[in-house]
Amino acid sequence: MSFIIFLVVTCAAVPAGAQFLRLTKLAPQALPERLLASATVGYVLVGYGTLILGLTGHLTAWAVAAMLAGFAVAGLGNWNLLWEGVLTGLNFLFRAFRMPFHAPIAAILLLIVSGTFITALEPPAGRDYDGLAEHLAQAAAYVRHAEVTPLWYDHHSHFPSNMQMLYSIGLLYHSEGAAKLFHWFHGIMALVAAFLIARRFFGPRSCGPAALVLAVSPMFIWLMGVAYVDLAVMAYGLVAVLAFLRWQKSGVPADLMLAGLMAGCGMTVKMQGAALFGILMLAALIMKPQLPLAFVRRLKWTVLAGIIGLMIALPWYVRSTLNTGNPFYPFAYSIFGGKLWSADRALAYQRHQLEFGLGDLPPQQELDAMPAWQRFLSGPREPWKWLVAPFGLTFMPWEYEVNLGPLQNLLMTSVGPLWLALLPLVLLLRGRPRALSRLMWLFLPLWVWWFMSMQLGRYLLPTLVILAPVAGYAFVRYTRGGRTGSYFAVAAVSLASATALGILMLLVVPAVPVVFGLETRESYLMRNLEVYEPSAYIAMHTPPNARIATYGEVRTYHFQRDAFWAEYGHSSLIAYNDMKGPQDLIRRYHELGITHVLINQAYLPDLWTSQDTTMRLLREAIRDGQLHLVRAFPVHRNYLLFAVSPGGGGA
Amino acid sequence: MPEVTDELPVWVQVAGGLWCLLTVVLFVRQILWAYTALLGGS
Repeated sequence: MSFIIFLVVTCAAVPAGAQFLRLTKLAPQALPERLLASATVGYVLVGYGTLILGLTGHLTAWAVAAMLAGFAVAGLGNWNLLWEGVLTGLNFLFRAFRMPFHAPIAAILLLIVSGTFITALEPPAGRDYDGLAEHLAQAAAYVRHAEVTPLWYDHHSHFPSNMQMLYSIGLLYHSEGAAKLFHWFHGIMALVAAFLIARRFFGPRSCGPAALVLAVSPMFIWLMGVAYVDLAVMAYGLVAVLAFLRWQKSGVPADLMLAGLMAGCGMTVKMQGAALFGILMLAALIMKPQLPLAFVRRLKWTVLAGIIGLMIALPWYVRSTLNTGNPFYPFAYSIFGGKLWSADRALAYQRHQLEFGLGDLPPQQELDAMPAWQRFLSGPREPWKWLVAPFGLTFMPWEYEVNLGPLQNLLMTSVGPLWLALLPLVLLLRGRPRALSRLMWLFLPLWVWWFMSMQLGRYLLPTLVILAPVAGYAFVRYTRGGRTGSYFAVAAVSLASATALGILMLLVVPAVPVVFGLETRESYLMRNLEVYEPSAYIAMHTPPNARIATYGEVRTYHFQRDAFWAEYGHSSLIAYNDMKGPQDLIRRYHELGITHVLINQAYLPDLWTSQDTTMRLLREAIRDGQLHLVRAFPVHRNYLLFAVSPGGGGA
Repeated sequence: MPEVTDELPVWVQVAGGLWCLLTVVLFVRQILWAYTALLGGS
């Protein structure tokens, strides 16, 4: 059922996207490029359609069905694109077997695509942290109320949310599997885009290895099975780069417009997409196309491409401005400000982001005492760390991610070894294709941007992938001729692939019983997600209009009730510092409609001793009986569920 | 469409290939180290 829902939405979106490209005269002639661009635009259009329904309070199954039918009718003239696309894909796959190494590469790709298809269908559990906390949880809240409204307790809900709109469609038809398949499919789009860039600009031998380098990345394999949004940014970015390189070669303005449009689509998914959009537009001005073209004409087309990209993304940023007063909420707080946010929260948030990377960020007092340039280049941003970052990312991924422990970080959140193994090899090559230098130059500022902003591995991968074709090309060059020297590179890629398949098995095998109906969803989630025990209780025993405030826990998707992240750092909705006693806290709970409080003591180890205002107020409210214990959970003892006293707060 | 036609000097191929292999072997070694550390509780 999940697959059918995913397929129906995709079959409505792609032809509609193709129609949009046809009307705007931006459709590429080549079928694979047209298919990718159509899917990108189609998904964004469906996302906007869902947003409109949500903003007007009509996010219902029938309204979405009608919207999809409308898209299907609008794209009627382009339905051939779907079956032609499938045939072309199969043709590519079979033809690949004629090339050296391509048969095993095609087999590995097929295994990874099929394996991750299974992980995408498993119920969202422990590995899907952001999905449970943000992406699926937001979509579920919209679906519950048939409306897209700001979730003020979660600043992420003000971000561009095109993927969350697609997830809402899945959840509207009671299928979280369909929601996750949208993310999975964007991973497939990224693989195809990497394959195409390599094929068009580095020759047919490079295309398989290019896709392989991405596919065997442990982080990619993990992302394919969760409801995050990074694979969409990655896919749209790669399609944008493909269009940009085509423009560099052909000089046809439509290709540059398409690049702007695709990069703009990336900005509808995540603000991070703005970096690639900006770099591409800048590169369009600086990098001369192969055919000579006057600067003024280049400038004109670049401005036009920029406007197109901005237009497609603009509604999300307008929405954020209207809701919060800040188009990039909660970022750039010192410039735009932002509703229910504050300078101390902005500082804490910024510090949290700057802490990723090798080494520790100096204490804030030390930072404040430094000159601006030194502050900028301190802690994980010391210049030498930029040079060692490729090694750190490969061998110590826990420094560049939420630290889950070395093994889990290596198996799930590592970019994998092939980037470091293959990319430096191009430095020894002579006679490099022009597109190779183009890709390297495009990546360089993005690499600096990543280093200077938030050194999270997951934020790098969507831009690192633009070098997948380069890595694929390096592999081909170093294995050309089949002499003794080539065996080392073949052995390296084989070992990396075997490791990736091993990681894939670790993720797939536990998912098989629940996906194929041999294990119940409840039993699977009980084993694999600690917050599921309180979630299931809340879903079963609290009234439908209950609202659960959480402390030490943000993964609220399975509550099936309205949630509220109540800790100080999330928003200023609860002014803990202005409260005189627990009665003020209870009064505020009542005003906000909060009926229950869930505490996860694992993340609040000093709940019973801390002098922190929030903890003290909670303790006093519990002591006074204004929060009374409803349930202590037998398996996961760190969770406590309290009910808010209906009469409290009046004293 | 560009196609690879020339072959690299043997030393380049060997040096590059060895770098490539070393990187992947070190990555696998890290996984094994992390696994044994987890088993040992360190």
